[in-house]
Amino acid sequence: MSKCPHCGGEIQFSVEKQKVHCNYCGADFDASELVQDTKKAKKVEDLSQKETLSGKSYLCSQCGATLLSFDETAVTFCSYCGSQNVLEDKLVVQTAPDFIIPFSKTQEECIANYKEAITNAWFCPNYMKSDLVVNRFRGIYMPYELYNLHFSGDCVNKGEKYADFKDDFIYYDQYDLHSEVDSTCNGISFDLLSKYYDEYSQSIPFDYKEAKPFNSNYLPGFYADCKDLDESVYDEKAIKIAENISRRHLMHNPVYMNYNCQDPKVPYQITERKTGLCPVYFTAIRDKDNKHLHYAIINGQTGKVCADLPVDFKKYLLFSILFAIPLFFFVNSLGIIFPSIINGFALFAAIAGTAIFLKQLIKCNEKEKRDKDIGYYSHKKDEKTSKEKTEKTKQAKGIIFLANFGIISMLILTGVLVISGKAFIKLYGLTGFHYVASFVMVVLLLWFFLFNFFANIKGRVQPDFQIFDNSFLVKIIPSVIIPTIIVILNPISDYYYYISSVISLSLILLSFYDLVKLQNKLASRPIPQLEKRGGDEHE
Amino acid sequence: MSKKLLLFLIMIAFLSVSFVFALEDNPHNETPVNLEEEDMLYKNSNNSYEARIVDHANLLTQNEKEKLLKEMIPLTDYGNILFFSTDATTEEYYAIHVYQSFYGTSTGSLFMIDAEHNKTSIFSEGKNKQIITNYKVYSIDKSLSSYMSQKNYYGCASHAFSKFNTLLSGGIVLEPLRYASSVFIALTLSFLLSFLFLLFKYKNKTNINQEELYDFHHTQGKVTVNKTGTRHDDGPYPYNHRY
Ligand SMILES: [Zn+2]
Ligand SMILES: [Zn+2]
Repeated sequence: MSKCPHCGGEIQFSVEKQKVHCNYCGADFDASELVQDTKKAKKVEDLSQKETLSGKSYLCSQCGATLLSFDETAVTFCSYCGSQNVLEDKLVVQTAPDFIIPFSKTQEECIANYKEAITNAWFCPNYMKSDLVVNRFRGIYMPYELYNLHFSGDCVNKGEKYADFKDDFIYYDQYDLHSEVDSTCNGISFDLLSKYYDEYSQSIPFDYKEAKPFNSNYLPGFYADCKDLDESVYDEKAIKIAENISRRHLMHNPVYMNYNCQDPKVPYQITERKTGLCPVYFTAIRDKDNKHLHYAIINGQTGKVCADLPVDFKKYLLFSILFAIPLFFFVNSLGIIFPSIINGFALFAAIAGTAIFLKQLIKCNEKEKRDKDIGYYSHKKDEKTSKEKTEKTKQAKGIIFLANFGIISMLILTGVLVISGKAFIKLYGLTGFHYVASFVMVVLLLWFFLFNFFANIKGRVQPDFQIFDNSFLVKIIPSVIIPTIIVILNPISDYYYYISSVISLSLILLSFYDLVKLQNKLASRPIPQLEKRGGDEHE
Repeated sequence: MSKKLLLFLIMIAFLSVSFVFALEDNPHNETPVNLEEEDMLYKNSNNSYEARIVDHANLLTQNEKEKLLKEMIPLTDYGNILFFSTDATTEEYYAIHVYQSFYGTSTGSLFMIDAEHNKTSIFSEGKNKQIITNYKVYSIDKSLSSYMSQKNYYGCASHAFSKFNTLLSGGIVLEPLRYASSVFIALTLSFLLSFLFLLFKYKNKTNINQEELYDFHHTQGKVTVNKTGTRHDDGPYPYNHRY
């Protein structure tokens, strides 16, 4: 570790001054002025000519994360899981990254941003901005990698045009579209930490123009994490991103459109892959049940906040009840509280609740899939997944089958209704039966349609769409069925209407608890366990 | 997806057709109703609503008329109540005209038996109309068919009036239930809207356009086109043509 050239005291990087500051004599230096401690490190490990990154490593015995510290302050808890079982491990010497973006926002500024974000999210539990949580933010340099891609030369894309229609055949002429292209796409970046979900790292982008060549003098006063992903992990993804950008550019050119070129792109090649450290204030907040974590991440360069926002059910309940008071007077003033209307409303609410639930469910599944993506499971593939997948696909197909069955039976019922319509009118005149029956049918149709739609987005069966053993469905299905049965039976006494509506509506109200629970699941992760992570990270 | 949407729209169209069917109104002629003086009549002194039996078709015995009138009296608490019968020897009447010729647009209900066509009709006006809705009438009508097939006209009328009573008395008794339902509706609506508001508040503002952050330079020369070959699709699918 570097020492103060004046007094030999411990130094720290000061964010306000953007200078290296001596805690003892108070002298300030430019980070680049100071002699780096790399030479010393070289002596220790005798690495090649390359610069090195060295620090004291602390290992978390709960989740297996390691943090590097560069001064005398010890790591007392794990930033990734909140555990206090952190052991001082050893002195780690790594190949130094290519660049570093120093912290330019102070912890106070960033915490203020974070508190504002939490306050703006009205339903967030108060403990999320308690001092206990806020004081646990630590400045950590996260390992990132930066891609530079380039292509220059003859860019060939395929196209075709309708030529002729002859002898029951349609003929297309095929073409090669050549063009001299010189294209660069720089700055596509990814984090190199498996435990640091891409979702977060992508949402707090850094400005790489401010990146400086790596200099260990920026490190004291902060922690750093060691990369545990291979640098080539994101190669395909980077190329794909660049190709997507190029596609949009090429599509502007009318020639590609004229020749019906479906997928014009520039065949980029990776010219450079730089690794670097990016500044992040990070904390993992433990849930009350001590099983889940909410991550809060602040960009140490821009101050942008990305945090998991859970919902405090009590806050939501209070807000809803208060909001219900004006709504009650509004509903009463309409003077439309008739038994069949209430029944219809219950059906409508059940549909709306189902739609929200299914949408959130899909989001949740997407999140789980994303988490398992490149980050977590890049080095070890789960053998179980394929088996699980076929099992889940079966379930999803079952749901689609049931939904289709529902849609078809509704269609048949509609047909019967239409055919019988004339006869009904002749017998009884305008009965209102048709209104109500049609309404119920539209509602049920919509409901089945929702399940079909969500289990089968874009015609592709969603293997992760599993809704069985779900407490939401236990409530929502009866809340749809009870009013439907009442409409069909059409009892003389309104009493049944009121009772069925009240039962149905109470079930719907209860189901909102499940909705909030699902929302909270979306905003949390299970606490990582050591055995789930593969091997030793540092080489 | 678009196919499904189409299917869905077709279904909606189907349903609208059924609505149109349902909306087709009953034709009715303007026939005045003859008033006769031999009616059974009761006047409620509290509100001046009356119960009246007009039996043109002579479907009821004197004894049955008296019994029926007694059953009709409680209904005068809610509005006028009228029993009316017609047969081949009398003219054909429409319920709405019968009622209006007696009570105009004043609150009340009519139960009419057309012995000639073996048909019953129910008509309500004013407050009663809101409680004995068309939908309810349909349901009551269904329950009367067995009486009509047995030509038990008294039983039929008595049953109808008892149903009227259930509905009309319920209309008052169920008032607190109506308020309770309003509370539940308001709560459910509020829960729904609050959740949507919550989703809006929590909306991931992190979906920033990453591409704006990339350093992208692109220069391109003229595109030259070389024909490489021909391919053909079989089948006469005119919509496959690409221009
Ligand atoms: Zn000093
Ligand atoms: Zn840990």
